[in-house]
Amino acid sequence: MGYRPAPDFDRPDAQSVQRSRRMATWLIPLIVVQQGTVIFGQHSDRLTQLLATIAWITVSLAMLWILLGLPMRWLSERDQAIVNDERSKSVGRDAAAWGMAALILIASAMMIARLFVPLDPGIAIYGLVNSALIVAILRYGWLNRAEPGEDE
Amino acid sequence: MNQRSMSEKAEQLSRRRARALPVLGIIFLAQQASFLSMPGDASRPVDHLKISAWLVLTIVLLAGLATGGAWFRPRAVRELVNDESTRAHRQLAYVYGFWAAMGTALGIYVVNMFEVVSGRDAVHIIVTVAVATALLNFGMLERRALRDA
Repeated sequence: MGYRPAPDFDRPDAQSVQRSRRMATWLIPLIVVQQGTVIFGQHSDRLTQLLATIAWITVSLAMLWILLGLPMRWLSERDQAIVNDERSKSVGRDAAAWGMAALILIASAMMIARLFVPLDPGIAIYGLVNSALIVAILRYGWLNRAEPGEDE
Repeated sequence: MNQRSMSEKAEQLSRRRARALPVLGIIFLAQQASFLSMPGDASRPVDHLKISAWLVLTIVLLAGLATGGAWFRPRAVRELVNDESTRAHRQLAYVYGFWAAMGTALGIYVVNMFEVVSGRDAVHIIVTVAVATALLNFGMLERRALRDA
């Protein structure tokens, strides 16, 4: 009895990961906004809010994974080296610096705003994390965009 | 100022910065005990003053980290103080600070589900952790580089 080798035509490679990264950086901010409306929606019940919170934390960790350049074990060593090359690391660091700057600016604005309006902790953390992450991820997307001559 | 004396000055400033930044990071962290022990609804003028002082200190520390300090030195010395390796260390320090902030924020969000954390405290803790982590990392990386040089 013979076995056919597992098809590998749909296995992710460096190019497909790069394409996904480029697409995800523009989609993720929309997902975060949509999640926020569920988490803080007036008509959402407790279970819906909990599920939306878990989804939010998952999306946030996925964004951190992209930015941090953590090893993607499901790729071959060669593809990992391509995906996390020196340029990608540099782009991730630059994006993190932008995220850090956004974090401090928004936190300062919140500390001033709380003098005039009550600051809900859930919304404050959600706003702070997402604003910083979205700035970082958009910067990442901008620096990581395809070059004009690059084959997509 | 000739090239040799500028290099010596830059070297001296780099060493001083590498010594000072981790200490500043620890002092910055230690100072937060007085802020976090304030009552949650603190709205006296002195509380606003304390918060303003914390904000100013945070911004000054970050400005020092971002520019490398030596603000009142000649431009040539500043450029020597901010060489390629210092810029790389700074970027890495931002990365660590950013991840520390994100991790802390997610942690506080989960804690907030079980025990109420005020919005002011949440923002305060996140920013403090971010700035202190970045400062400590930058200082440590610089110290290691100077030691290995």
